[in-house]
Amino acid sequence: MEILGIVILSLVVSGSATVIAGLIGVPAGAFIAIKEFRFKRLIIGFVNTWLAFPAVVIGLLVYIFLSRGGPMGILGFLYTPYAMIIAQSILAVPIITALTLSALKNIAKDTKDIAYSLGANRQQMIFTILHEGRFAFLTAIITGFSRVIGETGMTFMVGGNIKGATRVLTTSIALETMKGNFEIGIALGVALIFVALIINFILQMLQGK
Amino acid sequence: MNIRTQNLNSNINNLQILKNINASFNNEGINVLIGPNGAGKTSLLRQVTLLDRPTSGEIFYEDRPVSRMSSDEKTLFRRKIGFVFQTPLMLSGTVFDNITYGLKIRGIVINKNKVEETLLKIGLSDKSYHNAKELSGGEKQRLSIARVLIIEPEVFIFDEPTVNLDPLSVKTIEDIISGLAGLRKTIILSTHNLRQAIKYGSKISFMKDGEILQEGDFKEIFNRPAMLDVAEYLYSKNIIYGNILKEDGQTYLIRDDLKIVVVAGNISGEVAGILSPEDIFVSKTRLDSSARNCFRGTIKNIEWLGSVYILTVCVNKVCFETVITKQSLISMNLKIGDEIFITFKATSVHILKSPLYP
Repeated sequence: MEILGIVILSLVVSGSATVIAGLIGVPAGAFIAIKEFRFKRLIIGFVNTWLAFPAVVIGLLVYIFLSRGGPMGILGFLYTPYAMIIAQSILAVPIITALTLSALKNIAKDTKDIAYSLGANRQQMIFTILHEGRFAFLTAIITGFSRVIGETGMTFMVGGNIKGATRVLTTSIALETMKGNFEIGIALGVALIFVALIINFILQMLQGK
Repeated sequence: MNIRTQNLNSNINNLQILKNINASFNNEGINVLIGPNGAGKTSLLRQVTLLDRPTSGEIFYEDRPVSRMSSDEKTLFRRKIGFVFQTPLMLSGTVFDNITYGLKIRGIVINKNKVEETLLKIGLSDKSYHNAKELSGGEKQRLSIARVLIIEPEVFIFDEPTVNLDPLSVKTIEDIISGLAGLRKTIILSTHNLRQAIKYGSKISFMKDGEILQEGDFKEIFNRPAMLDVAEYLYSKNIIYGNILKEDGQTYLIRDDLKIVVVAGNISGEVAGILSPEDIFVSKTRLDSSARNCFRGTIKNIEWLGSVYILTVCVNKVCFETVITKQSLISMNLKIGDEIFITFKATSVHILKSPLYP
């Protein structure tokens, strides 16, 4: 049951990365959307630019940081699932932040007006905006998850594709394809597609409520 | 509850939205803000409700300056004010979710009977579990009023509440406003609808370009507009620009070859004469009356306005607008191009000093 182990590791790594990125991206996006501050447009521009950051460069930077001689080398995270989670989180944060931001930007001002005009205090106003934006958060998270679970090159670089340790669906598909084992490659590919579709389906069911 | 502003100024991107507004609103009759679009009515109302912050100046609630209040105190006062926006904004969820929002925020236990009663009052009792965002424009606006009614505030602020609504919604909303006035609530209504201003205007403030140009009851404002800006807005057609001529103890307003008898006091030179359409009498033959002005003109246009008609009568180059009932129109058998007499009193022409002479 090697495949099952690979599927589970894929889910754990990408799931953790999405949760971490969500915990950072959703509040960050909400903060930028609701709060008025100087350089707001600059920050929004920065977040949107970060979206275009190549995954392979994130892989390179994480590799440098975590390699034995690097600043965080002492943690010994390179070629472990931790390294993959860190890299995937960095990839997902801007996606989740930008999507949360753009969704809330449209509803924040009106919702703020309704809440304040009907007597809400500050906390209640913020809660109302978050409540109104709850579907947008899920969309952002689904998109973030879909992006990281399909990520290959970067995950390969920092995880190493070690059998039984850091081998996930995408990296093993790449490996099997290069070895010419197309049957196994296709089987894993189908597994990856199923995992992605099922997770998306579950989240969309939640959203429909 | 009374609300007052002192030297309120608001600038956005170097543009002066409000200029030195000193306004006060109390519960003695409806406070009407009237003026063209872009006059600053909405900005003033939003600042009075603390939705936006003024650039400078002070707002007083019950004579207490807002700038010295803690945020808890501000919330406490804001909870006494209900604001109805020009464009109805809905929260997601049902009509019921929307109407009970203000109660939940205040930690008030929801009384279903009261919710029902309020929905009935605005004609939405059968839509309690409909998605609020899928209501029609008029229904949304009525719901946004219900949302405010149910929290029973002391102050109601209506920002052009009936713009672009269906007649039934307009009537429902106007009836609610009249009802509230009877309850001695403080009501501020902004509108650019003259009919509404006349209907409610025990205290009208005329705003333009961020300033309050004139305040008074509707008779004062309509009969004696203090400034040309006010007059131009109220009677776009019946403003006759001309020169004052004093001759044989008589005062005339001269425009082209038209010589109108007026009462101008000590105003002279270039002026504008303002004439309310209701003060012009129309007849087929020259009237034998005490009114000093009677001119023969030609009907240039007849416009149907529901219950009445607006006649445009031109005496050579100068045109007058007057109101006429359907009955009169039929009995006199008036058509465009007909010759007709218009008659009005010298005292009906309100003379304002005018820098303009187009």
